[in-house]
Amino acid sequence: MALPIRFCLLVCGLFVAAGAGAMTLTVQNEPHLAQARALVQEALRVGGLAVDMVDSPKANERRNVALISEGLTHIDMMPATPTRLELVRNGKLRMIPIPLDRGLLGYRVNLLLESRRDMLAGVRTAEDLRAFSLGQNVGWMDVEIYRAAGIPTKEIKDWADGEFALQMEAGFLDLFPLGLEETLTHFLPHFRGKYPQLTIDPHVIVRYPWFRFVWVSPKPEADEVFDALQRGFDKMVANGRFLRIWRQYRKPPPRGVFAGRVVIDIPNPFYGYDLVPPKYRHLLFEDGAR
Amino acid sequence: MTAEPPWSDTRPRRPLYRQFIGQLFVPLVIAFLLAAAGTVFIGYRVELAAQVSHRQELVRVFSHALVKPLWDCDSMTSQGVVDALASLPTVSGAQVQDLCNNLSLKAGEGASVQTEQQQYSQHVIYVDQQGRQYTVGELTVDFHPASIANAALDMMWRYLVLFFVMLGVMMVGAILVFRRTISQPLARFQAAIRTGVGFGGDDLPRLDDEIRKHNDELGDVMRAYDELMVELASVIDRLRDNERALMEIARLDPLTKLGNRLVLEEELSGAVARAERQQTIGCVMLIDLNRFKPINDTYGHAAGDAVLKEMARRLSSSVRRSDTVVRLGGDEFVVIAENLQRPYEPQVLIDKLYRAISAPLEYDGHVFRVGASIGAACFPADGTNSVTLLAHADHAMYANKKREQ
Repeated sequence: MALPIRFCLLVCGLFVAAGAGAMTLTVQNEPHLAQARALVQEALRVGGLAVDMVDSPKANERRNVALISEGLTHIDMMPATPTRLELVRNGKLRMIPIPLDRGLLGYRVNLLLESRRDMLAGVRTAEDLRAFSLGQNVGWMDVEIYRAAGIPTKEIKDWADGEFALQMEAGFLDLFPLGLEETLTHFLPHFRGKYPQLTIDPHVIVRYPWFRFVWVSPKPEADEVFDALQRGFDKMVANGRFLRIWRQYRKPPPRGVFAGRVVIDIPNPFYGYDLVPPKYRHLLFEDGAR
Repeated sequence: MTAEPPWSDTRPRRPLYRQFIGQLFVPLVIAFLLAAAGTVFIGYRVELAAQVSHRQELVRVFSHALVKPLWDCDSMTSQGVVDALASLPTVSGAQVQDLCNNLSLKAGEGASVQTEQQQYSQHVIYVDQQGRQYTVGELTVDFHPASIANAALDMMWRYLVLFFVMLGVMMVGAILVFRRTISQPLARFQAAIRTGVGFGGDDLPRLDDEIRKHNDELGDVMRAYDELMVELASVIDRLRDNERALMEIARLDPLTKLGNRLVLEEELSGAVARAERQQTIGCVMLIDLNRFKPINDTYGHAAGDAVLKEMARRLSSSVRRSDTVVRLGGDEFVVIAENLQRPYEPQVLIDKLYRAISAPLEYDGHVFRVGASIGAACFPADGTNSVTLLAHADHAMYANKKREQ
């Protein structure tokens, strides 16, 4: 091929590449999801897709599901729920079952009033927990898990700033369980800013299969995104980049957290640990108790 | 039977203010009814617009209230909002399409026949922190049919009552103003006129004062009337002067300036009546000149007239101021003497008259001597009315004349 023709093709190729630009994706973004968002961003890059990410609107789980199934959000990073799994089965949502929080979400520690810090000192089994009243946000899947285990659970609307402390003082609630790692690193200091009377229970950790996955819109325009994420996460898991990025943002709970705390396993009536495919299962946190 | 004046009218009297009000009433009622109808129509349109605005605002407010629960996919709260909306008295039913849960949340009952005016729909849109809009549902509200017609009817009655009260006030005010500006000045004008012609008392207004008070059309009318009256008074004065002159001409003898037969009749009747009343004696003396005709025939009428005038003067100067001398015509004179105290006094007077008449008189170088035949009748002895007395005196005068001949 003549040199001028080659030159022209090169120039044209550069123009095409420049004109293609980055794909704009609407992605969930919340303060406690920094590591999840970083992992998704890296996976897309590694998967070969240049994207510009804009935040999806702040919403609860039901709205998140509606947004992503309608294609208004391209990617979110939420725990697996029966609703989401059902949508996946029906082709209305796509799931990449990589445990973004390494299964730590299934380790639940109870927030309670400082004045009643040792309320759970005698609790050893799930049956023992039935004497207490738990609070959870409306629509959370945890509600069904606790209720399936026979633990009374009430749904409240406002929790994100620790408002449940007032309901505890009113005697409406006793406990408000959240993920162990996110509570230690984010929620507890955040809640105590407004409600310093809150603390975490030092006696019990509840554990059930509970994973934060990556979810992708079922719309055709997200096909390329889904493929890129699959490729990217596979590569990141294989080359260890997944764990390296994870550790930049999160760290496993120190062994001391488990010392003196009884770990009570309760089943998740909707899925088990096998929801995480074998290729990602080694990412799950091992505390040695299971 | 007296003839009625040309301006007399048998129809009932209609005062000016009644005519004024009567002619003002119908146009005013029409104007007020038109104003009332216009006001009600405008009120109806305003009420309609207000109702539409109110409904739109209601839908907007409830759409706003639904944003959060619909965004949160909280169908229970959304249902509560819809229930609250449907419980409003103006709302017959409400429905919201919950796109998140794919539910249709309803409350109340829709109207049987929906029109655009009764059904309002609005998308419920959530706007996130970045300004992006998300349609999370659609609110549809069915309102009860508008009761604006009834409201307009009520309003119309209120306005009609108000307008009729205003009309009444205006009519009363118009009557008062009319009476104050027209009727009362006219009444004072009438009273002033009566004062001017002698009907009024001291408490009645004077026309001059009324004219000074009114610097307007009514004042012009009064002024014109006043000028007319002045002119009329002048005419009447002239007529009276003329009448007085005519009366004098009719009662006086133009030659001697003595009274004539009319005066004789009046004076003699009066003298008889006074004599009867005062129990006095009076006499009437009929004087006929002798040898007068030859003077008249020989020296002319001018000489005769001069003799008559001189005789009149002598007779007048021979009697008292209270006595009366008249000329009957030709060479006949009559003297009426009243209040004669003594029975012989008439003869004394007759003798005095003879002497006065018989005295010579000069005229144009000639000396004339005339005589007289005098017949007297005294009252009440010789009669108590002029006819009888004059007849008696006439007989006596002719008897004397025969005796002298």
